[in-house]
Amino acid sequence: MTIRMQEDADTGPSFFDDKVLDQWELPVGPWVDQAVDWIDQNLAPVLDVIRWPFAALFEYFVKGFLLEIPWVVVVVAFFIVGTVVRNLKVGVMVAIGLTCCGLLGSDYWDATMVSIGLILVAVFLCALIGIPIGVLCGRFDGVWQTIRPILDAMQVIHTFVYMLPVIFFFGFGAVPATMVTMIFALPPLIRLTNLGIRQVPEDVVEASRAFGAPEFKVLTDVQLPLARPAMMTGLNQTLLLSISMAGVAAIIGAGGLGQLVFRAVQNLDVGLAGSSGVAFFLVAVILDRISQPEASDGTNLFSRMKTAWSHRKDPEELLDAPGFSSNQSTIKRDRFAPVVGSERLPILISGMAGIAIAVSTFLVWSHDSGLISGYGRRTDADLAGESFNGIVGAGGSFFGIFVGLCGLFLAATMVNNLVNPGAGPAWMRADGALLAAGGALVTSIAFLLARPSTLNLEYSHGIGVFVAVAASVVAVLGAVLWVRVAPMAERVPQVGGISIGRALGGLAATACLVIGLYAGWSFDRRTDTVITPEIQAMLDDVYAKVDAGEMTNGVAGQEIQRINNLAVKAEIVVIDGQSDQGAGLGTVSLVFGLFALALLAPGAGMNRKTLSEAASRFRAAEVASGRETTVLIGVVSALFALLWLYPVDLRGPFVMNFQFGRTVESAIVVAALIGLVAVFATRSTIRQKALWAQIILVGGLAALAAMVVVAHGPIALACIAIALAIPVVAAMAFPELTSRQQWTWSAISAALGFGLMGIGSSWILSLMRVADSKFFSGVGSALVFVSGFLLFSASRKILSDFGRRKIYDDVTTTSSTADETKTIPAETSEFEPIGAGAAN
Amino acid sequence: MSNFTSTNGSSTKQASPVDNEIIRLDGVYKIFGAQPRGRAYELAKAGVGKNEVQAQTGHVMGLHDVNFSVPQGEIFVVMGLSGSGKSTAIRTVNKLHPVTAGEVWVDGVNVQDLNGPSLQAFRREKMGMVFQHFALFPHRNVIDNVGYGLKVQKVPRRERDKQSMRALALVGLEAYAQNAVSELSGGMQQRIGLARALASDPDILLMDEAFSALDPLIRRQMQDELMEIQNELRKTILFITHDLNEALRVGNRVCIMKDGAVVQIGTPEEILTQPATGYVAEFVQDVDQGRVIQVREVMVEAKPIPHDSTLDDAISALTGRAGAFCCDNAGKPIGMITTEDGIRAAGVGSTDLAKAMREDFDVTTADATLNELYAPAGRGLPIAVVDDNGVLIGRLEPRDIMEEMGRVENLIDGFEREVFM
Repeated sequence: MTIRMQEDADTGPSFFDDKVLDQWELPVGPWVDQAVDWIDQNLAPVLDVIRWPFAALFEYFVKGFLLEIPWVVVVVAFFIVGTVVRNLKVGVMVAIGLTCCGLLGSDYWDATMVSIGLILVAVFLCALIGIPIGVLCGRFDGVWQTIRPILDAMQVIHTFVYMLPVIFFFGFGAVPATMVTMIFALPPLIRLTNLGIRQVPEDVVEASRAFGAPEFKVLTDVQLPLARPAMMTGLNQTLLLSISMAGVAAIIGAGGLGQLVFRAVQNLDVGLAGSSGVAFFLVAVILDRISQPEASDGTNLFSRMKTAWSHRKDPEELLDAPGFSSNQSTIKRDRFAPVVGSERLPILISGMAGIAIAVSTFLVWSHDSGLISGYGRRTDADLAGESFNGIVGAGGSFFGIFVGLCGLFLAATMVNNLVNPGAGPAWMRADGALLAAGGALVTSIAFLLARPSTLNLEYSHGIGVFVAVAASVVAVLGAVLWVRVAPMAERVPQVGGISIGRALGGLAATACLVIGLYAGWSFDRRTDTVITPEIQAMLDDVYAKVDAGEMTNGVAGQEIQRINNLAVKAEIVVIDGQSDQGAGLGTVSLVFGLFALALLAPGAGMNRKTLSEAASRFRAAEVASGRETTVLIGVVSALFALLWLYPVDLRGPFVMNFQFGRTVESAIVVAALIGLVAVFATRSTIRQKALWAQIILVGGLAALAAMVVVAHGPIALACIAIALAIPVVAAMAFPELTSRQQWTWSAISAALGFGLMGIGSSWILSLMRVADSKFFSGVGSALVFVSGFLLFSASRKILSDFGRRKIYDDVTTTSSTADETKTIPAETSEFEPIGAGAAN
Repeated sequence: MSNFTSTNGSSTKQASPVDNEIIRLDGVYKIFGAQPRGRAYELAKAGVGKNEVQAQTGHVMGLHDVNFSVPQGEIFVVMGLSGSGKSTAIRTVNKLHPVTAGEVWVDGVNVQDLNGPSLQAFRREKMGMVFQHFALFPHRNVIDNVGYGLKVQKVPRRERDKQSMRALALVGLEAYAQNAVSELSGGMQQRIGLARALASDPDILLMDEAFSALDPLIRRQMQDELMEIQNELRKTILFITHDLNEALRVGNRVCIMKDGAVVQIGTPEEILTQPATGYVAEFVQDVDQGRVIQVREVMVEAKPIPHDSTLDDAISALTGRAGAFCCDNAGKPIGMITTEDGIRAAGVGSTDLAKAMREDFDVTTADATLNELYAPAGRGLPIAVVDDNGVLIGRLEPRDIMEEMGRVENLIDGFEREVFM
């Protein structure tokens, strides 16, 4: 029987048959459904938070204010604003225009107010978001490089495309309409603010710095005032685009004049269309006249709107800014160190292992039932006799896909480095290979160790998983070897000492990992009854009574029905990261995470010397710069944020309890924050501040520990203590590292972090792919993903600070001071860190 | 003062220690580019020049093993053509540019160790900076520009305005306190820049090509003004310029840079009279050496004739000389006797030295420059060199002036041959 079914599976569609694609189907549609469901289920508070400012502004500003005050007051107010902001002529014109809108009828007046309100709200929120983002873009190239493609996308993608998901999450009405308007109108403001900041002459900024202004002062004293004209142009552009969007937004129920026009078009009501069109035009003229810059008085609204449209993608052209091109950079082609003999072998090992990993995903990963899918899809619990490869839904699914992608990356990296070392994508190098190999290893081991669902009748691993793990081990060995010999050099001088950012990243990752252990990894709302021990006891009681003749069968039946209803109501089955009921991936993640943390600590510059230095610096408080205090404030604030956000029951779905009703915690947090503010606002010495901060820190830690013990028992607290202790112990055990060694350890730590990302994302996506409705992955997996990301990004800076060595032809130079002739070798076989050389 | 010692043994070739040192650059490298600590740095350390490094690595070498040391109260001029790294050098002193390697010490503080608030405090308290294109804040009026450094220091408004007015008075612009900066001329704007740097009374002034954007007349005037202010305030001034005449005029010592490296450091005279390389010589040849060479360089021993000696004694003492000075008992010259006059007087039978002396001789001081003496030297007679009390300390032979000028000229020519052949 079993053999026959095996044959059935084997005699499936041939490789060249179109039907074979079904076997590997990527169910994108269901994913989106799942994702939307998941977001609705788990991120509803976040959506509410996003929705809140829009809704509040409409409620209190448009409905509660603009529509409530008498029309005369509005007209007079606009007259005053127009006169003050521009001149008397504009004021009079604006007042007449508004009155005309009103004379069309009170319906039109209300619609006019709603339209004006909509536009003003949109512009206000655009300014609130756009100007800070623009300022960040102007000051940090990295932010600009990140934001620019997003802006491009916002401007290229058609309104209707993003209208749909917005409707999906926020429904119809003024709120989504304003969001759509903002997506459309925001980019010019960001671009022009960015440009304005960048246009400020370098020497004026330098002057401000040279007189000792802190960076924030440089911004407020110099950059913002000098960027003001550009920012005003940007605001005007945003306004013009918002006006032109107000009509389109009517489609999703924005209300106001646009809706009147829309209705008129639907009903072919020419009269309504005409009058509302006139009102709409008047509103546009009014708002534009008030806001436009003095210089463009001569132009008319249509030409200006046309200009705004045609310059949507390059609003920079609107300013007289010759020579500015944000993507102008002189890229000089450098030649990188070629692959030498000692490097070739590790590259080949890791690359070949990568190919083996990729191939392994096409081998059999699962027999007889789905390992991961068994949790999410009932039918996958019993697939006796069938076997699945690593990338189908019932096989490894995203564990396999993730591992396979890592393998492909390794192979690509090998080819890239053998053909053209150093060129190509930024991560295709030794540490990138280590990242991929580590990711593959951690993820495949996690799959190997995952427990099958209790529903699964039988399950066994296929050969593919073992091949994947073995090949990953080989790949990791190869990659580690490669990292050791790769000709990588620091591109910017590494500052010594403890990297605070990375230490804090590690701390946050620890928190996520431990919470991930106790948080739910899956939660099940499928409608069948769940017989908890209590309910079982009640049932047993009923049966006992029936057996004893104390209860008639009819009454007993009703009673059992009632108890069953209770069981159905106890709807959510949550399985946390360490439970026997679940896959136990939380435990696996924690173990890998602790390894990563142990390596992160020395990689972040912590060792006996720096730690004791920091401690003594902290103790000698008068020497302590703001840095230590800042760190302390950061830790304390994070701690209390955690305390407050700490969900009552983490084992539920992804809940963030933004409830103000939790009085005890809120009281602690508020008191602590007030205390902090009081301590840091007063002119006490740093020593006093530090003392108070320490007291509050200890108090917060105690409170948190108490909560952990109450919620999860003492073992959880022990876990946290161990997780916190391991990095410190590791740091004390390690000697002082050179920056090259720091890089190596950081790369390994990042690779483990990448693996955690693999575990978290694979769990979420695999379940998303197959799950029945009402079965979700829980917050634990998301937290493990986040902790992996934190570990990865904690090391990202140092990884990107290292680059492949540049290589040059042998040069013979006669130095001007000595007459000896030095030959500079094209490359050196040993790669001691340059920082060490400079420190001699 | 210098309780810190250089940890970089290889780079002390030009950092001659000075007394009362306030700024020291110690083996400073600055490389611009994606990988400043990479190959470019290795090449630079191995002594490869700027252009070669750029050609090979695409990295720009801003500073190449720069060492110098500035004592308190000195005007130290860094001079070089554009791209020579002079502006980069000045910016390492207040860490507007962090260095790639090496150390920058200011008043016992290693500038590289400063960060964030400590760096800001250091910049606020220790130094003021003047920029080539003034870099005034166009949205603030004159007095707010001048008071900016004080505002950053959180000095209260009233006190700030008082100090700003004092600084404005130093540059003579009190009357313009409430004007917008755009209403002022270039020279006035730069005076405001100078006042801004002086307002918070820092120990050190960094002047980055401060006068280069001004036209020559104004520039000269500003140089004079700077030296007047310096006489009064005695700041340490790090002065950047590309104009050698300006460097020699204002500087106590001059550092000449080329391609990010220091070529020569010395007093203006040393630079002029002993140029270290052909590069310096090339610069120097456009300068009127007479404007820099001082009398004391050229003067010879006075060998005066006592006023009570006889005419015969005087004549015999004059052998081989065009003329000699007679001094009174206090050593002050009272007259000059030439061989010609002596022989003529002896020919008419006079023995009185006083009668044969002429009293219209030329007098100069030891720190006068040679160009002031071209006219008197044209008479062919020796010139008396006296000290502040009028006591004769030496004599200046016209022939020696010409010889010295000729020697420098030859030296420069020699270098030129070296450079161009």
